[in-house]
Amino acid sequence: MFRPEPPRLFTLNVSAWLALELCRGAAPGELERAYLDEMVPPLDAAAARRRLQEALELLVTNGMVERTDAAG
Amino acid sequence: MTAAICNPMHLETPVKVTISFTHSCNLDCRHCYASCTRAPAPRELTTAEWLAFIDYLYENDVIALLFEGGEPFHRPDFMDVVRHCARRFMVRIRTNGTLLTPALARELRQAGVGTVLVDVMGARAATHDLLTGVPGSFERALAGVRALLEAGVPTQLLLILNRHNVAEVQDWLALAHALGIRRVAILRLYPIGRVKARWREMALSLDEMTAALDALAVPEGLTLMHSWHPNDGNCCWQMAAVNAYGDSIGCTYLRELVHYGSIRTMPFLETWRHPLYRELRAGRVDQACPSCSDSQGSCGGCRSTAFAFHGRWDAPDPFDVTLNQGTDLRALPSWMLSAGPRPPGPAGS
Repeated sequence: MFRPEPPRLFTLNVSAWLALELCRGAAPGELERAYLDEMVPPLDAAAARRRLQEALELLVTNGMVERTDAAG
Repeated sequence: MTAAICNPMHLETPVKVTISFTHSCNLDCRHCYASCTRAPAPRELTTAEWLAFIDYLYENDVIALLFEGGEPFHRPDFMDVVRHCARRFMVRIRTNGTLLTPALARELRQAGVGTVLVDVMGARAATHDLLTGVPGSFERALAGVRALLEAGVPTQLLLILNRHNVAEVQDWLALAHALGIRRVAILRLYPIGRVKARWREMALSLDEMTAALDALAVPEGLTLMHSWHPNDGNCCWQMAAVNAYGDSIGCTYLRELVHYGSIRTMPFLETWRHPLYRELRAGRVDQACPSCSDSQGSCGGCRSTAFAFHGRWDAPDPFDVTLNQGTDLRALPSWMLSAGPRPPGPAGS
């Protein structure tokens, strides 16, 4: 994935890639439901929520996604 | 021999593309891979053609571009193209550094260029200038590097290892460190372009290369990259490159060895589906180094040097110490000395 500012390329693991794909314009609840639909099984719901949280922290920390008011 | 090993990765479309923007340059390097001329040839792609091609790549999900040459800054329209790419791609530029001014470096920073890679061919002006053929080019390259760093452009140094600079690579690392560079790369000498005529003068044996690399003490804070064992990747699976005339050549190190079609006459992704291109991306080779395969995720090492010394696309890469099998890298096969080299026998037909 390319982040324009400052310019940098990232290689995402599958979990982060899925979170990135699902979170475009999605509200937090919608994102979590969509993520769990994909990841449970094989993960249980608690493990999937933890993994989503880790992925979102990675994406936000590195400037690849941001939370907006429109998304809730 | 039946090829039984292949690359584990597969791409439907490329994610990064190398663009040899021009085959012109202000230097006269004796190792020049592009056999550059002083003025751009009339048949080079026009500004409008490059811009259209870049838009096409963007629409087809390419996310990274590496511009090189020749010397890209030698063509006056280069910054128009860079600005067109701004913030749509991860843009890397390889340059000899001599045309970079503080104002241009600031412009690169403002345009959102990701990295600039500067060829500095030795630790001393005498060595660098001997290799570039232009007195003063060493000092001008270093001035360019300082301008980039001052402007805040991520900057790396490149060195092509050869007989003229092998004794001063440690000093070259110290120079990079003193300049404030964080990342450098030492590259192998490829038998393409003008250097072929000087191969015996410039090429080292694999033992000499390995000894030079093994002896290096990398200063703290500096990261050194190189592509010898155990980092000898078969990059073909992800490579895409277009030369200044619009020819799709897969990788700039394959520039004389393959031609997958012209982007002037067909969409680039049609060239991506050329049978030989698909074959090289599949990476079917008859031998692979396990250490290099593990570190690079691909098998068999560089296809350009494998083909150059063995005349087969599935041959072992002789630059890898585990695959060299006694190949003398100082002696280039005679068929490689022609302009459009083809090995004798079926592989060359």
